[in-house]
Amino acid sequence: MRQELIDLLLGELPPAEAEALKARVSAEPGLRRELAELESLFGLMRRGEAVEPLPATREALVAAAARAKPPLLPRLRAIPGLVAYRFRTSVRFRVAVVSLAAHVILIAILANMLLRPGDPFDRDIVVTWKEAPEERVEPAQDFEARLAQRRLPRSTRLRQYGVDGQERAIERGLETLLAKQRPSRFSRRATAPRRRTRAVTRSGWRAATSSPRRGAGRPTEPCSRRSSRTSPSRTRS
Amino acid sequence: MPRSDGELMVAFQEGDQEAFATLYDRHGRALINFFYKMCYDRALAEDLMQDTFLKLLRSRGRYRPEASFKTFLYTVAKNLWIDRHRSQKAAPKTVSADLRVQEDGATIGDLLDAGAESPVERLADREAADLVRKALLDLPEAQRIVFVMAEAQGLRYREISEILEIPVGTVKSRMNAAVTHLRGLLGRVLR
Repeated sequence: MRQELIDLLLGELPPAEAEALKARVSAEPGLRRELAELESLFGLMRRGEAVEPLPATREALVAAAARAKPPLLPRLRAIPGLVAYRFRTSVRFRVAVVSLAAHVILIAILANMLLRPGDPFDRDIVVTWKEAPEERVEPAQDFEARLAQRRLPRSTRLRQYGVDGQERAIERGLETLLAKQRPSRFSRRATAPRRRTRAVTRSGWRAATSSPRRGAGRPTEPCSRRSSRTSPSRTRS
Repeated sequence: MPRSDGELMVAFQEGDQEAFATLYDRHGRALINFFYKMCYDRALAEDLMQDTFLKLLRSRGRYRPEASFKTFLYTVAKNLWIDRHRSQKAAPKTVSADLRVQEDGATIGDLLDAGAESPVERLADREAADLVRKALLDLPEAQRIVFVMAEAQGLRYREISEILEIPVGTVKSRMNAAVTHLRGLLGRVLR
């Protein structure tokens, strides 16, 4: 109770609580006596010695202030605080600050989405690397090697089958056939089905989004022009 | 309409020296009395008050208008008190009432007597002042600084908690302990 009486004397109680306490004090003589004693204590403390600063101190301080030039940096640093201070009570100012922040965030998100290559809405979001679809890339070098392997026994086989002398025609036909089967140099064929995991991890969607797979899902097209250019018959002729 | 302390400090940051003089006029007397009630050494209180304003002068760039100027000023004062007074380790417990404190030769005794009307009242005032001084100096420092800030300087609990960097509950308990201690010492006068 004494704490509340001290708070009352120091004006620390809210008005409603102060009124209630005053009513209680007026009803109870013990509390009234306690309050009177505290009031006299505070009054006595205020009657204690008080000193006045010397006039010379004021003059010295004002002279020191006159000598000190305002540095540029603190003045510049004070500008945002000054603006906030001048408009701190304005509701419009607060709404404007919130609106500005929202606009900046929105523009940043849109810029991030639009400036990144590829379709921003056609991305696989991969939660962990383990869930990433496995892709098997068939390198064009392997194909060339196999072609070279086939080329070696071809004349031997032609001779065996008794079609010697018709190599040119057969080779041309073979080239056409192979050209149809040959995949594009840069094409990739995903062996696993595409997994679309629409999930956002804690670290954010940006970190978890895999780069778009170029050519994934497209049908493999023969690269006829390239094959004709590198055909052994043309090279020979 | 008078400018607030925060506005004056901002004006001072921008180079307005009159603003600094106004701040001194507003807070100089309260500040010297704060230091005086902490140590009852007039010369030390004057020095500390002057140092506080000089520090304010030097660190004016650090002040932010959104913060309370009074809290800023008393934080500087508290830090100076800790640095200076504790380093000296020898606070004088008494001060001569004959010490000349005014340029016209007035003493502390004269200042104390200024408000009294009769010799009996003068004597009572002097006795009371002595008792108050002894009681305050008898308080533990942690309680004394809270009591002086709250009662003599009129600072709010929240401001004291910010200045001393302690919770509001601790401020309240220290205030309560200080009042209990003072009532025990000054009971004879109060009754």
